[in-house]
Amino acid sequence: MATKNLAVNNRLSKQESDLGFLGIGAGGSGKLALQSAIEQHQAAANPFPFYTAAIDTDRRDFDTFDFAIDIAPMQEDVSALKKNPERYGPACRVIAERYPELLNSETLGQGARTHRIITQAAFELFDKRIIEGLQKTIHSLLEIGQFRRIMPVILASLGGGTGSAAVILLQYFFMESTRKSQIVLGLEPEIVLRPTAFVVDAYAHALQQRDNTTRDRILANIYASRTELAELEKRGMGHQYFFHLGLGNTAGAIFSTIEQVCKANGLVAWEWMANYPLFKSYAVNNLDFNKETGRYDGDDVPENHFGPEEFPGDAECIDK
Amino acid sequence: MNNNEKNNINDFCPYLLMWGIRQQRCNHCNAMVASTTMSSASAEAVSDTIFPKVVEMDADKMVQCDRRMLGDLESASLLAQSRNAVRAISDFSLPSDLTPEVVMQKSKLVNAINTGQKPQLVEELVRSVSSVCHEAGQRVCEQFDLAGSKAPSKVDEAINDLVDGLDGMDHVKSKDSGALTCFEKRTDQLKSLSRLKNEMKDTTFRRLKNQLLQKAQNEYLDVLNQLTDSYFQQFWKKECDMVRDRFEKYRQNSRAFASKVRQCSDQCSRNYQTAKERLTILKSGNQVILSEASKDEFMAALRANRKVSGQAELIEDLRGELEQRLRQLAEKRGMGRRNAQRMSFRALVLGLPVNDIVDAFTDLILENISDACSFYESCQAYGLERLVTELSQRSHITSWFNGRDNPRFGITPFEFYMVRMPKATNPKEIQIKELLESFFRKAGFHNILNNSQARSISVLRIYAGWPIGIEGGNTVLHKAYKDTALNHLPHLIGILPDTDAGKHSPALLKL
Repeated sequence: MATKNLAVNNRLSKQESDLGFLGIGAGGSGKLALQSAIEQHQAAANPFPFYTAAIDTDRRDFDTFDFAIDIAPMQEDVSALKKNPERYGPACRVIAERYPELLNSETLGQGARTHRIITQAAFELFDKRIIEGLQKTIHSLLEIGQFRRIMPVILASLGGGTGSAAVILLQYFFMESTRKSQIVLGLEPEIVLRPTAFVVDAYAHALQQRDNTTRDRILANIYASRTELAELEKRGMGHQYFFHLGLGNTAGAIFSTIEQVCKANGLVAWEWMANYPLFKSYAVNNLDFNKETGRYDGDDVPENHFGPEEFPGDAECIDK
Repeated sequence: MNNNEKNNINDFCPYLLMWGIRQQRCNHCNAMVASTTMSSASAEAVSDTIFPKVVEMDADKMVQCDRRMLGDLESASLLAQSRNAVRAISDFSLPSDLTPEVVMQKSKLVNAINTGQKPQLVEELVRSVSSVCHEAGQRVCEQFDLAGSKAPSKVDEAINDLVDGLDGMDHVKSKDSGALTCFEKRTDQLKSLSRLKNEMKDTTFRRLKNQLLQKAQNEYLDVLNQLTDSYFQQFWKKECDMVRDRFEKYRQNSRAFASKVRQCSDQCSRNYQTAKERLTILKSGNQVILSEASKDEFMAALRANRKVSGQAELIEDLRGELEQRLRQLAEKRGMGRRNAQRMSFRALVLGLPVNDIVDAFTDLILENISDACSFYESCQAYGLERLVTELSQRSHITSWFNGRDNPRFGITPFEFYMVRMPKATNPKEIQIKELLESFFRKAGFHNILNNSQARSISVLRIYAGWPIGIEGGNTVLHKAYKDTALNHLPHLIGILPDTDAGKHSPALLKL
């Protein structure tokens, strides 16, 4: 595995900090954003403990990061899945039984191509690899510095197939008790904090598409991801903070390409991490309080329009 | 999509497009960063060009550093010096009016030395011979240090030549000329002559005595030479070995130095590359671009500031200044004041971390190019108020909420602003920076940090604490969600309660 940044980051062992950051770039846009954060970190002479890992269904650019979790299915993984889908999770079963065309050998290892379910299947296929990878990154980060807590910071985009799924699935891995206990095996469980995510709402990516179908698929993925995030939050498994970065603002800042917005996302994440103590000192009495107690109280909710009987309500269906 | 279109969508749909918004947590935030960037990477380019020259000053002006330098270790000359040194020892020296008694005395002395009865005298002899050899070795090493420090890049080559020279030097071969036997015979003859003094004419006796004394003197000197030579051979070889060892150590040290210089130069190049990349990346991002002087303008400012005219002079001047700064740095790094002051430039470079050296050099350059165009002067040229306004506007958030982010709806988002600025490097910059800070404060930015490593100002704005259901983008996203109902699998399995195998949620499609 790549240890390029670890050598640089070793200097950090000299400094004391309460919090170490584990940057996880999920999917192509997440990797791009994380690269930008790494560049910024190095240019600023590594001011805080920062270890980086990438997780993707596409193997490209893995060597930029301290660690890489390769979840690109190989032909043999697909063969095993097709032969015995019952051995795997629900996404694998559904793909094998209902969408076998998604397991085309020509496109294996080249990303999820807006099919979020492919990423979910990859998470099921490589469940052990992901847990071990997260274990190793946590151990490596602990080796670097003297700090008591680790905050996973997930960087991704919500429009594509991998990042938009991984930001939810990784959160699930960090929050679900069995998997979390495996990830922090041998360590104090509270050492890993609830993850924070920095995501790009991939409008720029959508606008770059030539055909409307792909553009709509990307936008639909953003919406689907948002509803799933809300579902996780309802179940108390949501992110600590979930940062969004859109297309631009009316003051002249427009990210017209996916590269620009991803790099900006990395910069934002890095600035936030670099100044986390300051941010937290303000957030603790405002944001942290409101996020637990504040609830939307307007009348313009669909429950009021359609009647409560239409509301899908709660159902214990996660990881069924 | 323009604002009218957004409002139309919202007007069309009288409710928010997500179920269960009242159960959503207000943990969503929007963050945006805007920063300045210089229009070029000239300062980094100057550092990248000059640093190797400053550190390896005079690399092309190698003073004599070849086997000619070994002249001091030339064996015949050293041997002659050793012999003279031994003859100068009072116990060994001969008076000008040599008498048979003195010869007898010297003969006894030589016998005593040979039988080990005069250890102190032998020690004195050894000291004389070794000091001649050692001083010569020291002279060679000193000459070499001087030459090597002026041309570190050529040291390896020079050492190869010198070591070859040492290996090729002929060692002195001791000649057993039988001097001692002759001298002893001559002493016996002098004794016999003394006994026969009364049996020969006075003139004859004197003539024979003088002849014998003359021969005894030469033979005594031969004996002394032989004695000296036996020790000389030993010390001269030892000294040659010592010089060779010192060259080898110097070679290792020199290689370490060269490697450190290379690492520092690489770091300077990386800084330059990073500056160029940052320029490329950030120019296309959310940046306010400040104009900067060219590399040539910076070089001219550097020369003017250091009050030097030519490149060579500038390099020498910067080297002196850098050396001074590295000493101060070494002191801060706990190397001790006296030690730091005594250390050579090479030892300072070897003892300090690469980043410290490069930072010290970069600071030195930045401080001296302020006349051309410092960072804060670039800000001033751009217009401080204008800069603050633009950064403030560009850092505006990229989400919108159609007025629902309001305490009346139970939502009280929290705003966090932060500005990071680089340190000012001279009084003029300090003044501009203070003014700039006051403009930022007036614009509502109260968290102003002075820890930016890059020559740029960055503004981070966070708008935090809203539920995802109220974000304005949901309208257009939901439309696309509905439009893809037939040909896409947007969902993960098992998260939402009513999605079948990744397909759309019927409840969401109903909205």
